[in-house]
Amino acid sequence: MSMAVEPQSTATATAADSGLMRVSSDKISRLMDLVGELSLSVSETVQSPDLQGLDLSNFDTAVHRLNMIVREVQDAATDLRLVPIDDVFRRLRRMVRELERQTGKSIDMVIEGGDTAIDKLVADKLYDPLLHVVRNSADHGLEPPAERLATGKTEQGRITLSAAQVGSEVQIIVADDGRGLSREKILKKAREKGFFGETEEPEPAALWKVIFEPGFSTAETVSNLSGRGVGMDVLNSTMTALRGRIAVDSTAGQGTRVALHIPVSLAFLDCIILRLGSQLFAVPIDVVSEIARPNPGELLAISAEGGSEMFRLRGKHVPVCRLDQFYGAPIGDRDAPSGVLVVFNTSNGAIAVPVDEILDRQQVVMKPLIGRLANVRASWGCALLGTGEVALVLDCERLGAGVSS
Amino acid sequence: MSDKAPAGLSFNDTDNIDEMYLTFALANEEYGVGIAGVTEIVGMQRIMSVPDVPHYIKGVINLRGKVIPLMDVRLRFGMPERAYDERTVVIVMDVADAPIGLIVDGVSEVLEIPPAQVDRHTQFGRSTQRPVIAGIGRIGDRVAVLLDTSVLVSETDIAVPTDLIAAE
Repeated sequence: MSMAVEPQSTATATAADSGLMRVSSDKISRLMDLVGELSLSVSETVQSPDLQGLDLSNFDTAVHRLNMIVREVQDAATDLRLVPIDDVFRRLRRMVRELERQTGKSIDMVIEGGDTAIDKLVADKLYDPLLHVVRNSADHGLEPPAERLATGKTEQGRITLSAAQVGSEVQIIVADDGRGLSREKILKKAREKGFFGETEEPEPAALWKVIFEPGFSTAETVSNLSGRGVGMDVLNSTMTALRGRIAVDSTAGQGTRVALHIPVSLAFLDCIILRLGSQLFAVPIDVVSEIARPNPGELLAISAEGGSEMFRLRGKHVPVCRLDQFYGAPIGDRDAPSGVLVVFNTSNGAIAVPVDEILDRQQVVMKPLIGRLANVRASWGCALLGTGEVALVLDCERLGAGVSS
Repeated sequence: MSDKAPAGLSFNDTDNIDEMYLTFALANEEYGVGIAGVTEIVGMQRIMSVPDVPHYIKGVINLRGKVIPLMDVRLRFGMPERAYDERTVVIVMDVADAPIGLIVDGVSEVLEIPPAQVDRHTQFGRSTQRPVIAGIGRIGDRVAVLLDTSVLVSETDIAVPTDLIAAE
């Protein structure tokens, strides 16, 4: 195949001057795929069974160096796809100007951490869900100027859009200084829709979450801006696709804060590998809070409500989620009862999952679940391990939701 | 056969890929799938089981970095399970843009079966839904049951009705 030399244009000339180069995202995707395959075949080579029993001291040194280089190439390739989140934020700023005109409210838009880097694929998907959050803040959150003055606030409402990298996640926060979410209205509506019982008084964090449920909207009038009950749903499905989490916090009269936690990159995932019987599972490292070997008496069986198990951890009780029970089928070839508990942090609180063995921590390449695997529950996808084996990547959020329901 | 055909290829210019079938054996029956959907044929690999799939999905294999679920076609049809041996093969196919590997007793051959030799009009299935049997292909005095792979890989229940098994 011959390489075509593109004709010099003024655009490429100026780009070259600033040290920037335009590269099509297809080429970068191809590179990412190759880097993934490279890291797999390196692991396959160095873990080859042919090497067993050989004296490999020089080899091991070389393998160590090779692994370091592969890790760096992976990071560099991932880095190619990172763009500043400011591109998304600037589009939102233009949208807010438009909103000011439509609502007659004066809005001070504050942007922080615009240089935070995020995967281009993630950035492209973020605009719509963020737009819905910002629209909600502008439309329902911020009060009209007269109402703000009456409650002693500045006439101009403020929406703060901020981003920061926290570990392997990017945290994006949309905060407003408006009237806050109305516990009364949302609870009334949530009870009508059957999310809570008539006398149930849910925790604030649990209550705020219902605003993301499909078809849930408390807006009394349906404006063209928001209140159709679809926006938050879009947010929810996008966040699931991006393996992200949403948290809402609100104080009546003082404002609402919506925080989105999203992994920086979608290509590689830092996981620990767990074995249960003959099956392998991978769990993103950042959801694992601890690993415990329970003593007799620390596991508490409860027969009420269909039966459940609790793990006593430093005086607190953590619900136990057995994967074979969750999937409703025995997990193949179990020899002994699982001796290790892995405790995961989920937005519904911690859960403890019993496994037989903890194998390794490694960067895995994720493959989506398609075809006949699309219906596997509580999973992000398949992880290809260095050994050539395949592990199911557990989505602990959905696992946790399965426990509490 | 045309003498222009390159050596090693037995297809001639008039061959139509839509009329080509890969036939394989299940017990003493012969089945066929359209060759167009077949990506490759591989020997039995190490299967890694996955949770939350029907019993006839035996697990997944890693085929050069691609994760491919394997369907045991015997179990899919409600036939008795049989231990895999050296003749057992996996027919890797692309059905509706998703990969699937069919575990069969052994592959037979690639045959051209023109539509005139395929009986389609009969209602082979007993239910009202779209049948998994696309037609019966006549090859000389033998027949091959031609399968609709999109029904085969779907979740439709196509196991042989239990009253039929009992009657055997």
